[in-house]
Amino acid sequence: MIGYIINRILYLIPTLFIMSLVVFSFIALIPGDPVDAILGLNASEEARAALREELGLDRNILVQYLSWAGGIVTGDFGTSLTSGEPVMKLIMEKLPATLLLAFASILVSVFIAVFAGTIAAVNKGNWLDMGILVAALAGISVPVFWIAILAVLLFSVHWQVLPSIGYVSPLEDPIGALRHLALPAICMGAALAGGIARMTRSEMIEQLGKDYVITARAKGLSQNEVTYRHALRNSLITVVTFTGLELGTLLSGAIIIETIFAWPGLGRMAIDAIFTRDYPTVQGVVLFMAFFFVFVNLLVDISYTFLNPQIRLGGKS
Amino acid sequence: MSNATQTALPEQSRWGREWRKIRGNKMLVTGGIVLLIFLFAIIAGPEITGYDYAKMSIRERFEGPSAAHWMGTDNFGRDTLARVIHGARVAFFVGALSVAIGMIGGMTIGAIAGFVGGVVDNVLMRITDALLAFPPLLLAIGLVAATGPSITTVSIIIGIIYIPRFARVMRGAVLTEASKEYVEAARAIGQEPWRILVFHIGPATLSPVIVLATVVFALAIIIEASLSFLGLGVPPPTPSWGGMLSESRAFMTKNIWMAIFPGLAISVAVLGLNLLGDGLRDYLDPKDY
Repeated sequence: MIGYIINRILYLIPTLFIMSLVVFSFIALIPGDPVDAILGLNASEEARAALREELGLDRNILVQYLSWAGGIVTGDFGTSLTSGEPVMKLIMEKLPATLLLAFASILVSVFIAVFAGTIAAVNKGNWLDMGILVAALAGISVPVFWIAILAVLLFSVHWQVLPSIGYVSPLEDPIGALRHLALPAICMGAALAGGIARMTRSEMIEQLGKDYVITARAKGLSQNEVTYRHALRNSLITVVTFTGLELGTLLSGAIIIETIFAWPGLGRMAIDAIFTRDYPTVQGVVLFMAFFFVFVNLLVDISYTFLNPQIRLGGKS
Repeated sequence: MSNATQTALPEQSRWGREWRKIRGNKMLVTGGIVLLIFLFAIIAGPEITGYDYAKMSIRERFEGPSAAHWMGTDNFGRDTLARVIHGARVAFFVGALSVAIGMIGGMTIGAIAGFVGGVVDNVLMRITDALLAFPPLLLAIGLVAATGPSITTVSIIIGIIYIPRFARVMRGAVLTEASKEYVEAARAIGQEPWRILVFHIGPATLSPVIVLATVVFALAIIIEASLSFLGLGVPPPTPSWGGMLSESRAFMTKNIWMAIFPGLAISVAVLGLNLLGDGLRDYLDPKDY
């Protein structure tokens, strides 16, 4: 078990190294002179020289990478060109809003998906199952920004029951925060739910066909007890793992949802930085989100190993 | 004569069997029909509506669906159906180019990794894993931010992002096939390794790659639409589904149809491709043979 965890952590090193190379190459990929792209062609020679020095562009590319990567290792993600503040400080300011949105979206999606997936599995093959399967497939196919536009049309424009943009800190006004969180979390949760529901359904069908379920039935347990106390509980390990691995979809969704709902998180920060040509911030946020994704995957992997007695007790990885 | 009949019969029955298998696969048929409708619209072009997708008509702004404009008009009085059809051309161009790039790059890397093995396999797979660890849209946004938006760059970027997925699937398929007896037989009769890879193993690996291609096609359409929605994809005035949805947000109270049809087009196209992918997976499953 410990050997497995150490192995997984060591395995991360080349992944993080290659990710850093890719993100570093963003500036190298800018066609022409990056200084022209950031400042425009009419900037003074002094300003150009200052930016060149700040970005380290006057140095050898290997030295540039080593100095940048060295900073990343110590938590220095560079300095924002627009605000002049450290990118890491800006990330830490925006992170709570993104985490709140992500957490609420996962809650919404797991609630919808586990409920729908279980009903589909119990009714396997009949019209209810087919309906849920079609809805799940449709959910996977509908882009999150269209769900968001339709939700705004319905809840904010037509019924006027929920605000369409903005963020309120839950520490200042919990009710207001919940009202502002509702639409973005429901939209992102709905976008995620399709995949998780399909996974819940197939896992539940597998569990319901196992010997221990037959034993439980033979012991005289009711259908509900067998479904919810035994099969669902065992399915949840896989469902939780799958949900954790969906974090990539969640982060991608957050970029769009935060832009639509003016949610002050990391996704919106990245998009704003792109439009102001603040490349160090773009690099910093993208790398931070990618690292975050990799670390959560690692945690999911380890917790899966821990939760699954077959792996934990068998000592197999 | 009798020989000809004898050889023709099994051929006919094989096609008949395949046709029955296709007809019995509801997902494959539905996905295929949806795709054919889009392909027809793409080939016929926006002109089929009788309107130019770029022609403005100030007197016809914000119209709802009518006999004259089946999907209504936008804030410049342009015909939405003509723009949705042009958007389909953009989406399918991006999808096709991305899949082609992802497939060529991924199949080459995956085949080399699986067939050569050893250090080459290890290095290639470490790079592949690192790239797979990036959420695709996040990587696309970072790369587009650097290179600037255009229909070709967006397609190339999406294609490159999906190379690792094709590489993984191809490597797995090559490893499975390489251990089979027919490959051993080919080696035994002294065939060159590249010939074994291309002519013997290659065709046997196509099924999973084709299924992945339909899934990636759908994902490419969603990523292009997402980028265009964020203002990082196909630059205006070229109509794209994501761009049209982005424009519609400013006019939600004036004309909701501007927000309905482009979103419906993306969803139906992606659903069709997903159905086709699921259907193909069942159809190409060797267990059915």
